[in-house]
Amino acid sequence: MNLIIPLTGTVLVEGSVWGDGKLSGDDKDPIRPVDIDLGNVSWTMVDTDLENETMEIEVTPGDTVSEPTGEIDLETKEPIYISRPATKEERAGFLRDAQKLIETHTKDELYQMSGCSRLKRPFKGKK
Amino acid sequence: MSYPPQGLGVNVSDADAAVGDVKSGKTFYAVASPKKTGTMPTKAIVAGSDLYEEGYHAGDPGGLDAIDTDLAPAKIKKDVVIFGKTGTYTPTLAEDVLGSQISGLTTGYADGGTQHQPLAAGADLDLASKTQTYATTSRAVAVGFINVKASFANTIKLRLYMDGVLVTESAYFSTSATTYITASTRALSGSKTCKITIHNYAGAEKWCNIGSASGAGGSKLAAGIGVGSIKV
Repeated sequence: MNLIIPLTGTVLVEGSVWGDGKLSGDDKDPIRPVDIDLGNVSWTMVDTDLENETMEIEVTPGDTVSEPTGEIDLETKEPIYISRPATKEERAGFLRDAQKLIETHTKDELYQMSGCSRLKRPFKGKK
Repeated sequence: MSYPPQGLGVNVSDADAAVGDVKSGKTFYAVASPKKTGTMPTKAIVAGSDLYEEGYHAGDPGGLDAIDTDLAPAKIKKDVVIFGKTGTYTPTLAEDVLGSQISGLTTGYADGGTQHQPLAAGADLDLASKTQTYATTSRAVAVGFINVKASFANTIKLRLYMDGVLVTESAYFSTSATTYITASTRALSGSKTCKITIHNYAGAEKWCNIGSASGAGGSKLAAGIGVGSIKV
């Protein structure tokens, strides 16, 4: 499943991630989708669109689920979990949740929810 | 009186050539005025230009490839036909760069095999990076891995950056020790850095236990990055 996410970060060199591969981000503020938690999914970049300041990503559901047992580790004071493979229904649910999160919010709302600024392009239009 | 007078010359009353139909400098006779001079310009196609202007073209017995020697099968992509020339060119791919880097961080415990790693809310922790010089026509791939156990469910993920662009992110780390691997590709040229980090999506500090590369305390973490690329 593919999603389109608004971009944040700072562009140091305008360009593309394909073709000449010139697009470069600031290591201290890298070009990335807004820091919004998509849930138990992994994703891979498909392409960036600097014109619309978005990234298209391909999303895959996570393979495992960690559930609390309700017990606490007496030594570390941390909750004790068990991990198990995600069911087919759970994996489908992870994708639906990620899709719903993105597709039911505007770009402005996603920036606000993530607390991220719009993509900074200080060298846009400069040679 | 008809023109030409009957019995004299050729009847040209149906001649329809106009000056624009006749090569510049050449003359001809027409009905309206006994003699006209053509205005059709002489043009030529030349190598290095895709202009094909209106006008008189003398042609070239050697064909288009005599005008532009780049119109050759060896320079045209295989099976593509351009003006009757079928291409035979197949790009040759070659290895460009290859490199890897295990995390420079080490486990803090003298006897343990893991590093108890706290991570602030919303923070990224750099684990390993590799800088390489890529060819101009390079397509790079980066692979990151980590052996880790999250202390809290649904909080921390592995990220992979290529030249300042986040290109892939894992699902949540499990609360059981698991090895994660993530990979992506993009075009890179020149000296570029790829790196892996872990990111905390929780609203508060969380932590995870990262395995060690050798299983011994004080050794490097079981996390690293590999990069490679091919070029045309």
